[in-house]
Amino acid sequence: MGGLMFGWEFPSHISGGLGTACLCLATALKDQRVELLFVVPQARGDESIPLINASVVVVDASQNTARVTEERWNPAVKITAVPAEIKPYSIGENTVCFPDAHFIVAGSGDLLPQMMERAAYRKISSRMHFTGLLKAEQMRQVLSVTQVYVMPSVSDPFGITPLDAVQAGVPVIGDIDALPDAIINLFRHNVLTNASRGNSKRETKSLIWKRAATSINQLYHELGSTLS
Amino acid sequence: MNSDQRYLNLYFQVHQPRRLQKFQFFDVGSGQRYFDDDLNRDIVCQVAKDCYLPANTLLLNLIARHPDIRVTFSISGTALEQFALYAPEVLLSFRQLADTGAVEFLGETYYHSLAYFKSQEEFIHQVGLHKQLLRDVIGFDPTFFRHTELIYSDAIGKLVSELGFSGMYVEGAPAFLQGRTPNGLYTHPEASFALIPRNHRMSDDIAFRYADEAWAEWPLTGKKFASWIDRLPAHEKLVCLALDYETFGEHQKHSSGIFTFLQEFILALQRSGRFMFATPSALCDLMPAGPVVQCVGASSWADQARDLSAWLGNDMQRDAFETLYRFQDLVMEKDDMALTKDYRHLQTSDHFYYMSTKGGPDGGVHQYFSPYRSPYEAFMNYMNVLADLEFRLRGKRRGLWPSIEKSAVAVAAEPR
Repeated sequence: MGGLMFGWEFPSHISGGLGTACLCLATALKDQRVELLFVVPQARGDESIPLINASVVVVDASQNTARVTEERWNPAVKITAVPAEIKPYSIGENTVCFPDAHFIVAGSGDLLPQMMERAAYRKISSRMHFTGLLKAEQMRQVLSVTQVYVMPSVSDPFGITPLDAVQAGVPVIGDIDALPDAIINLFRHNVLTNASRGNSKRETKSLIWKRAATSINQLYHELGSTLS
Repeated sequence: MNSDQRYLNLYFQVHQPRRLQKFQFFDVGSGQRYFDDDLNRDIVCQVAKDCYLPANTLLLNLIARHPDIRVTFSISGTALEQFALYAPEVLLSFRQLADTGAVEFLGETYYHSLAYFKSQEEFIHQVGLHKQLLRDVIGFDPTFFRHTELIYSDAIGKLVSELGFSGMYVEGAPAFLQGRTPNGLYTHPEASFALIPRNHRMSDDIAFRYADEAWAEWPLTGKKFASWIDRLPAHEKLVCLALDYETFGEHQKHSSGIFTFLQEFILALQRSGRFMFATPSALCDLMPAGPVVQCVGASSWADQARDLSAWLGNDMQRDAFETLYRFQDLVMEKDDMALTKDYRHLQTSDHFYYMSTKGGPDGGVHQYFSPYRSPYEAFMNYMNVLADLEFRLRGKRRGLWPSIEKSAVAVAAEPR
């Protein structure tokens, strides 16, 4: 059986995200002798590429809160957005508990300047370190000195970075409501840190790409035989 | 004292900061140096060649031919230090100017800093360090003062007067003048302390508008400029033109004719005889004490706002500034010469100037001086250096993180 795989870059040149997932999965599938054709968009500037979004999105909000807004880079493109309420974390107050706590903000993006301004407004720049984009090896170095990996983003197309953290034995917190409390608890109780490290590591064992590739391979074969 | 006599004071500011080198997150705790010695040497040598040496020669020649010409300089300690390191011939030519007796040198903070706003003790110390250095390398004992970027308030004036200076320069900004003319001598409300306002309109005609072809007065010749001064109302007794010395040959290139302009303008005024060239100390003796002026808020010569917003206008600048001075006591306790020196070089106002997010014409000027692509890059770099400084201060006992082994790979700073 042959497979078609769609992505926007191959091989991935940055750590994390869909690119890495595509690369790892494609490599694992190839190991299982699946003939794979990887399709990347060739942007000429004017053509539009229709994308099929396969993920199931459950929006816990009433229809009338949905708003049509303009796409950030192109006002002609309208997208439907559901406003989400994000509780402020008040990091500024909580660091008082742990004056030596340091937050490393790894990566880059178009909201980085605003994040830097926000940290400065909160007067916590000396405890927030903005590294810019990290290469895989640098990510490993950062994780090696990290006590807790915090993922406050409300959405991520493919959250590979928490898996990187788990693989490095760093506990991951993603629930934004529980964020400050969870961080404080982890700082307070090193025992918990060690315990979460162990648990998380065990979880990653089942997350290896080989398994994912096997499942996919299996699924496609089942589908293939059902259809034929 | 001739009450009809009118005076012209020419004051040039010479300053070069110790620019930082690219200091990334992975450099924290690595022992890497903070300052880009190669870049600083290149810039100092280039500006020496384009500006300091030819401009000094021009002034030396003019003074030799016309001994009544007077010029005033203020040279920051960070500039003097770098001349000694990279371009000693510049120091020599400033010494030659000092030897003419026609040139006065001003006192200022060694590190061209904003220390006054955080620690008067540190400010006083830096003024003392500068005085010592000026004595050592130029052989001049300063008695008149210029604060970083002409920042002034009544409180600053009072402190400077207590340090034994007879007066200081102020920006002829509306905040200070409150409707009065910039062309006169003023007095501090509490002390017998002279204040010389800079005529910013005429100074900026040279500093910013000289090469602007869209300006109605372009091209500006030395004779035309001298005629503007000649035509000022007779009751305006003192005109002070204060500029970055780098205007001559660096901001305005040699090819723009700026050196010819300078020579023509000085000669034209000298020949007309209506104005007497004077240094600030001489002015205090020659002129009657001026009217008292109160100035509560801080004014400066930077940006259109002419306040502190060029260095402390946004949250990043303020947080970086606060973080820096949180280390003041720790650094002094350590009593480590290399550490203290680094710490003081980090106080140079330029580092904060690069973090300004102002747009418009102000933003353009900030960008012109900045070695960074953006204020965010400047901020990130500076904060990494401060993190390293904290690492050095606290040692491993309360270190930031177990030193991440020095990465061989550089972090790509470009956004994806």
